[in-house]
Amino acid sequence: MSFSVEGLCVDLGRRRILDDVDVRVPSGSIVGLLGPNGSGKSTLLKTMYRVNRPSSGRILIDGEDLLALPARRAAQRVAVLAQDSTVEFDFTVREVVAAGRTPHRGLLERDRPEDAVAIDEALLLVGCAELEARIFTTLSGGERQRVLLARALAQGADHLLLDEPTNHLDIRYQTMILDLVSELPVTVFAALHDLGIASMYCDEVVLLDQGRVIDCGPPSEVITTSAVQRVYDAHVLVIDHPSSGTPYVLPTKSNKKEKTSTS
Amino acid sequence: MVKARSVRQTSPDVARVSNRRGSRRAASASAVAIGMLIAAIVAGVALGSVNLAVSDVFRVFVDRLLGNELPSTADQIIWNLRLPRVLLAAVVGAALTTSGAVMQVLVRNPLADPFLLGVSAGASVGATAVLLFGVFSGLGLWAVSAGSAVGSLVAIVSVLLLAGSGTSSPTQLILIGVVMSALFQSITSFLIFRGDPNATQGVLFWLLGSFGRATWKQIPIPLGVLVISVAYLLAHRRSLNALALGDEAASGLGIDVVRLRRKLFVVASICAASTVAVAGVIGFIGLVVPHLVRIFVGVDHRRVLPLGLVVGATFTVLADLAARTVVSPQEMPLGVVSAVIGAPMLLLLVRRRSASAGAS
Repeated sequence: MSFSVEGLCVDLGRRRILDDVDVRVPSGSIVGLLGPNGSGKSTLLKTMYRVNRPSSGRILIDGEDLLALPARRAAQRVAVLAQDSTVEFDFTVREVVAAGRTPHRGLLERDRPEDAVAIDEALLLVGCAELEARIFTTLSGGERQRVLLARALAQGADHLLLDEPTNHLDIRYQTMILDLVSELPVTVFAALHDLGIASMYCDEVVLLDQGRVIDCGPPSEVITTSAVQRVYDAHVLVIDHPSSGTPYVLPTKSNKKEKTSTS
Repeated sequence: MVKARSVRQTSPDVARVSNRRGSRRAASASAVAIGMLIAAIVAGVALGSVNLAVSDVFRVFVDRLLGNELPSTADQIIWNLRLPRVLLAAVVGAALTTSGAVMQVLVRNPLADPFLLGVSAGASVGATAVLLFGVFSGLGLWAVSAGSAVGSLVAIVSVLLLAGSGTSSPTQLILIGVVMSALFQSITSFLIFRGDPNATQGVLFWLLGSFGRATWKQIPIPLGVLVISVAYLLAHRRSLNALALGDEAASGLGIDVVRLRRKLFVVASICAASTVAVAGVIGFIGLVVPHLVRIFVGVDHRRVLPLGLVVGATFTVLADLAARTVVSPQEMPLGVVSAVIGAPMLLLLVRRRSASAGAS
């Protein structure tokens, strides 16, 4: 139950988006993928679930080449929770979650009772059982994201990829989604936007900048004032979170701005 | 996973109840739709320039099925003229609906129709060349069908080649289809411009669709294409559902999106091409009927595809009945009727959609 990414390079068009990326996600851990916008976080995850093709390098799952597996077999091992995307059709919540069973059934196979059980369990776990007959597109952002998590759970994979799953969510849902995920007996690799939240939930973090891994390790070692200032090109102060003791990033006012306002 | 285990006892009941509710609704919708299709077929056979009693229709059916062929006028009208026409309309309507439903998923746009990606424009070039310049004239009555089929296939292959083997997003595919359609349409216009002005009436009539020349012999090919397509699509129902949720979602669910999209494009286009070859370009059915079906049974393709066959067939049989009775003894082009019925339905659908979007 582990991921490892070895020497991964990805080119989109003529641009090199990821350059020789190495990541290890140990069994049962939550590893956060951090970095500014455009650093390649989403590209890395999308390469892991076959939206992008790598130019070189390998992605291993328990030592097996993930991209060499048939797509269906890979999806039985790895589920994805991405940013909420628009759905053009009026799927019910239950139908959205039922799609999670896709990799478990062949072309001519009928649904089995365990499919319905997996769907029900997933809906109950995320607290959306009573929404099952609602139309997915009419839900609030927080509800939609929980339903998408239920779909990933119904997929029954032991590895979970999260692509900024808490974007645009209220603070309540941000922590709710990650609380749910950290309770699960799965290996998680998560691109996260919020460094403070990443520090709280991740065992280790990987810091990405311009397609390269700058640093990796426990959050308290990687997320420092100097590293964040340098990689994000932002004025910040990293302090210890008063209750969890993990790093927490405070924005500070830039000196440049003060100078221009006084002149 | 202690939590998961504790819910295991209660969940199968919940599942059974909700599944039963969904399938009961689908079952009653199917029963009503099948009843309407049978009524539409009987009406389509009984009504026309000469109205026949329903009892005559049944007598002819029974005689034919028992093998007592009676050379009556009713038998002539029903068995040789109206029944093949009504059945061809049913097959074409079912195929257009199937094609439209799949096209809407594969470009992930609810406003897509079977002809969005160039099939009808390509067919028009072929059919126009036949009607105006006598291409394929050796094939006799089949020449227009052959010309149209060749034109469609050229369009399908060129869209496939332009889309390439790499990732082609729905938007790219739509753009390629629209550009190729425009190109083929300009060729058709050029042919009409160069052709005999007296023969262009026939081209216009063909372009708007008609079952006026239906014979028994026209039914097997589109029917065969439809049966194979629907069997293929039903086998891929889960992949279709996943693709409707989005490319990245489908990819995460273990689907090779690029390959699936190419296969669906070929199936939907050949399905549409087979209808164009026998009946010309009939608009609106492939756009409107899939939406109509989704209102009743939702978006799951295991229900949309079968019910779409029945509703699409019914809609087209009734549209054809209107086309040949409203201005009788003349016939209206079917495209005119389907647009007159389809356009208001589509407007209602759009309003409904924006109303539900506004509520969220």
